[in-house]
Amino acid sequence: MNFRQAFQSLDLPKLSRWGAMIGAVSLLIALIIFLAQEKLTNEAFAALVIGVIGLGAWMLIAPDELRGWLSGRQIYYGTGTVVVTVIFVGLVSAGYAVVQRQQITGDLTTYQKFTLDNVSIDAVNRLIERMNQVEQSGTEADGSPLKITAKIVGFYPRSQLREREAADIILRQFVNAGKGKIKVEYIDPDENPLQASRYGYGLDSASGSTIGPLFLTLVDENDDTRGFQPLVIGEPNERNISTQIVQLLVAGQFKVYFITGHIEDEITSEASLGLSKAATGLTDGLGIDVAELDLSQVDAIPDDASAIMIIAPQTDYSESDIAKIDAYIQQGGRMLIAADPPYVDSRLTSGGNNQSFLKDGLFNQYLWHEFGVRFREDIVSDPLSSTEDSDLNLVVQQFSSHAAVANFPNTSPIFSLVRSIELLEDTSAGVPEPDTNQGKYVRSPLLGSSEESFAEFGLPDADGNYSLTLINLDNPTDFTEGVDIRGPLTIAAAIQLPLEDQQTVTPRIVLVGDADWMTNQLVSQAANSYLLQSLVDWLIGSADLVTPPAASRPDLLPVTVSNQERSRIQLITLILLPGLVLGAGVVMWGTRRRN
Amino acid sequence: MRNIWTVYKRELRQYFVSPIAYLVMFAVLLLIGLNFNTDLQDRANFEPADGTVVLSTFAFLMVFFAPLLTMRLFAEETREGTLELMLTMPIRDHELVIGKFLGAWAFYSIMLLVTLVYQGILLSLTNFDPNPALLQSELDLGPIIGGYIGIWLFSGATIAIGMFFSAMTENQIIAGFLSMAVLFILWVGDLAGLLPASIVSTRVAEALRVISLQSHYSTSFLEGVIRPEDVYFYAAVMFIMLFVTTRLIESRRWR
Repeated sequence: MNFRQAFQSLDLPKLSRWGAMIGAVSLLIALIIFLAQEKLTNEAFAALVIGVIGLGAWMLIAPDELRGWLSGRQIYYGTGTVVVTVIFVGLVSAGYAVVQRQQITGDLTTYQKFTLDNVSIDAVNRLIERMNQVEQSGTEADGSPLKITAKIVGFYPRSQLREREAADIILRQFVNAGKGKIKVEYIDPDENPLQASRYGYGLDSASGSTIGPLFLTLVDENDDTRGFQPLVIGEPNERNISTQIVQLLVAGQFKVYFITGHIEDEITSEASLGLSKAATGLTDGLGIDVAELDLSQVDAIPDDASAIMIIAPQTDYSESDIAKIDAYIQQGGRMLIAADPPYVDSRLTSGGNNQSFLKDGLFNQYLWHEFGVRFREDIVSDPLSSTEDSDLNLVVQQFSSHAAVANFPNTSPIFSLVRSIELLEDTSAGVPEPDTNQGKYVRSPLLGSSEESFAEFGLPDADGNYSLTLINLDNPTDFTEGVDIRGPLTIAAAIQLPLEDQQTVTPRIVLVGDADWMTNQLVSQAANSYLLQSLVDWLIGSADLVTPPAASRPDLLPVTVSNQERSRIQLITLILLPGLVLGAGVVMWGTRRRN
Repeated sequence: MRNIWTVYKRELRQYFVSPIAYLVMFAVLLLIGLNFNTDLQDRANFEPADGTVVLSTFAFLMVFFAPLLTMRLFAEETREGTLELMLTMPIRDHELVIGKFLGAWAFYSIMLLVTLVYQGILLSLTNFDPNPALLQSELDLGPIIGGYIGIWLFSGATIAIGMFFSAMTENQIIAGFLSMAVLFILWVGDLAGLLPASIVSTRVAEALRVISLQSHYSTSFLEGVIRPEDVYFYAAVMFIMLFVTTRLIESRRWR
């Protein structure tokens, strides 16, 4: 049989039908690839070519079949069915879009996990009020009315579509409460790295955790943030979101000055003993403006100072400096002093010589005379609550119920080389000294060392004089009866006027016997960061102005199962229940066989 | 309505005289029981009880077991020739489809009701606060109630899809396999975003999530949240599949 005979013996119409089927399948594959990748890839193009060739061959070889198919009853009825079905599916899909837009959520959870509580609703209402005020007070560049919207931006890569959906449930509650003034936008950080970087989304190299995924910002009608720095919300839950709304509300209302000029730690320093992280925590976390202030360069502390911070001074303050501070405090000023032990501090190894708040120092005398409180010249040694690194690294264990440290989380702050604080009430007399203002103020211990601790006033030298400078890793602290003081010791204290005297001015002072806990090396500890925020919150009184954010929902208790109960449950669920069903099946099967 | 009721009763009865229905129920209960006990053991003294474990297991098993129960609905009738007979009876196509669907759904509902035993066990294990003003169980009932509503709708959708494939072919195995494959795709569609962008674009991954059976269940009903769009989604899948199945049955008259 030659080639011509072989070709004539082929059933071409049958082959073309196969070609048509293969072609139709290829076209379908091409369509799927095109839809999935949203572009005509090589694979899609190849499938398209195969489809066209297959179907084209069938049309050329068997045109009668094509004609018959097009005019047959299957096409006649089938087309109608397809059209009706497409219309039906289209209508149902359109209905889905309409229902979805309603943003309605029914919350069945016991603790109303997905329903905003009054605190959050109050925060949202205040935010709306604030945005309305801003809108009324300004216009767009072209003179058109200003329209401000709060926008929650969520950065979710494509691999986290599910997490995005879960977040959306709580976010839509805020959108609904916002009455059109709060909107949500989701951005894929991989597709929009520029936006992600603009908001600061990404890995925090210091903590190793992700910054985000949610951020809160304000935008105008053109989606412009108008220079507003987005606030980090973090994980999507009601507390985080309402906290940041509250921060947005207080933003710009408070300003804290860090005093300089006495070799204090600096907020611009990113070194391990710098305060850059603490400053960032205050600005980003609490919406508080921070600035440095050299007292020698000003006549008085500025009026916009919500509080002043004196962190780790190494020299004493002059009379002029103290006079400025006193004038500020008498007008209701707020002050936080964090001081390291004298002569030595965490700079021990680098031969530091801290001369601040010595017993006879001007500033310490001022504090004692005016407020009945002062720093001791000691180092607190606490073997019970020390860290593994050193017995001088102290883990705070005693918290008072004072508002400044109330509701502290389960973890404790970590201090390094702490000095104790002496309150008037600690002295043998315990009563205000004559010609002082000590009686005007209320002193409250905030943090304390353990019962096992003691105040080390120094080790004896060859002449029998006690000196703190002799203490180092080779010569550790050692309690000396009659020289050192047994704990517990106050390591942080708050001073304020009694409630009845707070009508006109309400000065507040916090003293902490260590400054290292605030520095870059330790402030990243969750409890240290919380302590800073908590103390500053109390000092500036932001908690008095805005309602605190919603507390987290109470946790359910773990389920308890005894061995006996476990065996009984296994019997019911693994043997009785399936066994009953299987038994019923066997009975039914037997009955049917008999019939 | 009377015709639907007649078909419904017939279908439901069929399940109770079919050994495969009992085998499916046995397997489902055994597998859920295993998962339930493992989960309880893991949680004991560490975490609160979670009644939704039973439901998420049930939902996943439905992807594989639902086709086993729906594959015979039309395929068997077609193979045995009884469907032709039924089509000659004074009964409309949609009544036949709805009746069969409701019969299958009722059987599933019964199977679902049996799983309440597990919730009863969990409730018996949880303690109550002695303070009457704070009488709250350690078991959050919200996600359980939401989960049952969701899974009931979810199984309705899986049955409707399974029934559609049963009407497509007279071969039960093919019908079962096709519906299992489609249900599995619709189940894992929830995870479409995990595929590389070179295979599926983000927009398509999002679209796949919208039509995924799992995404309308796991992040809402199972969390104790009822969203109208999720209820609508399952209802829409049921309506669309029943509509298309009716058209398929109807096409036998002119094919």
